[in-house]
Amino acid sequence: MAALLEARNISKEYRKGVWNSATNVALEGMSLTINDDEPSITVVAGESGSGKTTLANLLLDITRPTTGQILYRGKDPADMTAEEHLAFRREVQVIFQDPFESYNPFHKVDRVLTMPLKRFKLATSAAEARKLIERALDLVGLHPEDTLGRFPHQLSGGQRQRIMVARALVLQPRIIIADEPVSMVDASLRAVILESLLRLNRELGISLVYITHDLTTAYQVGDSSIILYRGAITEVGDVDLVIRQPEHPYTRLLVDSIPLPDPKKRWGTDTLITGADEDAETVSVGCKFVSRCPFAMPMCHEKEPPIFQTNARRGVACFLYRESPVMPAKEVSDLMVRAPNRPAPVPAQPQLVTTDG
Amino acid sequence: MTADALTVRDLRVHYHTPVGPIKAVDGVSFTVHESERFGLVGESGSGKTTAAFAILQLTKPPARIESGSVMLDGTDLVRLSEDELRSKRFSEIALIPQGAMNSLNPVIRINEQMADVIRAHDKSTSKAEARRRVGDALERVGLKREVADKFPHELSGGMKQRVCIAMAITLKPKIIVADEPTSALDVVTQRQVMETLASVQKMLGASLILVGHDMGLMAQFVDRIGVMYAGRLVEVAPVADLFQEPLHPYSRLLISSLPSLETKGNFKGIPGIAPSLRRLPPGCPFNPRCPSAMPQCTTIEPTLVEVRPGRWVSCHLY
Amino acid sequence: MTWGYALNRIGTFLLVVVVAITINFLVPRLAPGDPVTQRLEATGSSGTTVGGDFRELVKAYEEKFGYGKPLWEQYLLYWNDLLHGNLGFSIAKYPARTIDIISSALPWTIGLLGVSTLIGFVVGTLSGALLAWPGTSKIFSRVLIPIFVVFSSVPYYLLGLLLLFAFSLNYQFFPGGGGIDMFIEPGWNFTAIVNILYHAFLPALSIVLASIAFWALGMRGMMVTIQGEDFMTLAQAKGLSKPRVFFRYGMRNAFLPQATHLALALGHVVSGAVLVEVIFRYPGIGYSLYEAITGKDYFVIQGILLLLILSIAFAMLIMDFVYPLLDPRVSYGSAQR
Repeated sequence: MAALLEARNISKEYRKGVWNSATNVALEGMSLTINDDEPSITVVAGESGSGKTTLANLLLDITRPTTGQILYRGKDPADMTAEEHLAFRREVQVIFQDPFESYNPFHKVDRVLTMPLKRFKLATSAAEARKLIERALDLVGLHPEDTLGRFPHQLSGGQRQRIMVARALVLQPRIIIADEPVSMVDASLRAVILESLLRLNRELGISLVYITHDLTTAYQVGDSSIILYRGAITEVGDVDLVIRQPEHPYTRLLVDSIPLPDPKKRWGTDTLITGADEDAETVSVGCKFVSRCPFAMPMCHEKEPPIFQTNARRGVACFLYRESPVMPAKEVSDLMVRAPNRPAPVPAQPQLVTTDG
Repeated sequence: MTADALTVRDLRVHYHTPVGPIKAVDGVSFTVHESERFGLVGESGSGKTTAAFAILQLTKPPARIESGSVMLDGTDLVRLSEDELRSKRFSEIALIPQGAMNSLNPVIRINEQMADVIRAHDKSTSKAEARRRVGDALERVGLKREVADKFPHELSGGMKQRVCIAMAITLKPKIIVADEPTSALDVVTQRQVMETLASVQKMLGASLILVGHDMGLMAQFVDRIGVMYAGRLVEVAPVADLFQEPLHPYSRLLISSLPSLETKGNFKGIPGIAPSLRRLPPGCPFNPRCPSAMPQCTTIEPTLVEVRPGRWVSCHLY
Repeated sequence: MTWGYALNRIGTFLLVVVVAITINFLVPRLAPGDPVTQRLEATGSSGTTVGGDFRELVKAYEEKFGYGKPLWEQYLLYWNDLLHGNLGFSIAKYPARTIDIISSALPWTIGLLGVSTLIGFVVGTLSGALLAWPGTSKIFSRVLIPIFVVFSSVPYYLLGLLLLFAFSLNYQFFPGGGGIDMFIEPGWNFTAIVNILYHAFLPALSIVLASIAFWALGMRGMMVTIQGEDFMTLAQAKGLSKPRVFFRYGMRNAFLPQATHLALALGHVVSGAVLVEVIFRYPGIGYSLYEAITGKDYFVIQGILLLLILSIAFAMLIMDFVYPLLDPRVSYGSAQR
């Protein structure tokens, strides 16, 4: 079980300006391992400011961690040879959120597909390149005749985003990091794109890191999930547990605020006090959620809660669950990248477990 | 039978481009009742935002209202001149834009931006009086009075949105049009903002038109929904009825494509792509993608008819 | 405004000044030979006898500027001179000092160009904003925009020549040049002032006409962009009066980049719009620069260049402090939320 992409206790801090020595902690204490032979789908969920995009940037080596290490096939990108680095770039691909900004509007969309092939020398002739491209487009449900030869503004947002997925595919990657791939796409198309992402995992064995703020699509796509709040992990585990039976007060707040497309199921069935101002000051000691948490206790102000294992397949970073054992980092890391070798879940009524504590 | 607050009749808005007209809104008619929450839902290119702005008489060239009427209190807003309209703006019909975006003037303080609405409609209001009313409006949306002294960039997305709500209710309008008010906000803030909007609307007894694409949000918030596709209204129904039993094939497909939190593996989309508004297919615009298409769908355009009390559909199936 | 910000900006300003002065020092000295000997040789080759005075001048210079001395020593001496206000002597107009030449020309230039720039700016910006406003009559914009485009393409010195030809030679409304009539003493009395204005009118007009188009078209572009912004739509939706939307919402935002350009333009004022001054023989910095170049008056050229660099850097410094007052999004010191 070789580790493919590993994040070892990474954190990212930004300085708040030239003269200000105070820092803004974007992400801290994150450890994650994606394995070679267990293609997983990990969902990283959180709101803006939670650190999820920072995590994507760190995993892609777009930015360096302040502490900790990112390792790909056991090597830090900074220590890689040019060849190894090229392999890294090929095997770890990204899909961004905005299906328009990702394109250079002066070029036809073909360029976005042909350039990577050329760069990574994956095709020996134009005909072979064309075959690879057509196969990739087919995998995402697009017809080459409708899309190739056009400019970005001539295609719809859904088509553009699907071409982006095809672009990621054409390089035969091992890992795809998708940063909010469907949030700017129409609702009716989301399902199609998500389904193609899921197929990539099930059929081609590509691991996915799906970053989003939309827990509903997260539930549909993910196997395991990490919920981030202000740069720290609040809950981790199987999506069925985390999203359908959330335990952390923040996760409960998130799930409860989802507007369900069913007029009979109204908002706020779980009677939580909706948290205070979202612009509460970032706390430097204690649990980050303490200022908005209806269950805050004195110890929550004093130190950050570790991740407690409340279930074989779930961990919560909350002192409400201090009776449960603390989860070792390796376990946390494993939980995040659980492979889908388990029976399909039985559809049941969503139950929001309330704890007495 | 509640009174009608706003009646839109056969509204048509076309964009005039060098290559021909784009029929962004093509014959939209609906009525909003008093104190009702009406949702105008559609995907990108459906014309919902264009329709909303046309109702507000904020259509900018190259778009133009070609025909139709918007009746408010017996007056057709389309026929009024800009000067006549100005006295009605925000005092009778108000807009809540996407506040988290660029809707607030970045170089002047909140107080001044809100006070100028008050002073524009009543020049005799003193500065102190205007300031007091601004503070009241801010409190009503759950913000502190001190927010008035800040600049927009000093506020978070949720706060800016609530400022926009506060601005809209200052003059106690009868109709409020909210254009995707929460699209840039996270899900928790969205809920807070929508709850604020709900309480404010109830207090005023105003009618609210919510324009958006999030069906989940519509399900939670509105009383009746109008579904738009390719510039037309394809279905209008009470919200519970629509989700329970959508009549139009597009509504049906749309609702079934929504991801749920209950079952996994439900990946149903709507095949095909939305039509180009410049070259609409003949007959019903949905016919190329419609699973129930019949021969007449490609030749005759369907019209919006009330097939059951309170349920309107534009489809040849009915 | 924090101390950090102020010190940062002033520090940058000083750095720019030091670098500029150093380059100003180094570049001429990189060329072989020295100006005095060159001048000597030039005079000699043109057949003039070189008299004793000239040799003394050469000796005095060599002692003072130590062309034989090591470079770093010359550098320190240079700084020493600068800080004492000694910019050297004018070779062409010896024994006039550079600093005297500059300081007598400066008021004329600042007066002419400062005022013309400001007039051009104000009129240009306002008309530019009006041109972008949908309420303005179409005829107004149809006529003005081509006029502006023409004026902005015609170089200001050409305009100056045309104006001179038309209104001074042909119609003789205005004098043919100079800053003031020879027999009037420049001072703060009515006669003198009227006379000065009379002489300044044509050169000022050529500058105003040339620059007005630049400001107008720039402002128009900004206004068109701003009008597409969401807050303008909301301003209209709120039912605000047209003037209010125009000034408080439109111009107030479109103005910001114009202000930056103005700072830069004012910084350039001391360059003297050389050709205008030459055409009109206006006794400003530009004219002095022209005379210095033709007379190979080496130290005067250097002195004027230095002045130009300093004034631009200074204008930017002022802008750094003023801009945050105009745009509240730009804060002093470390970023807020």
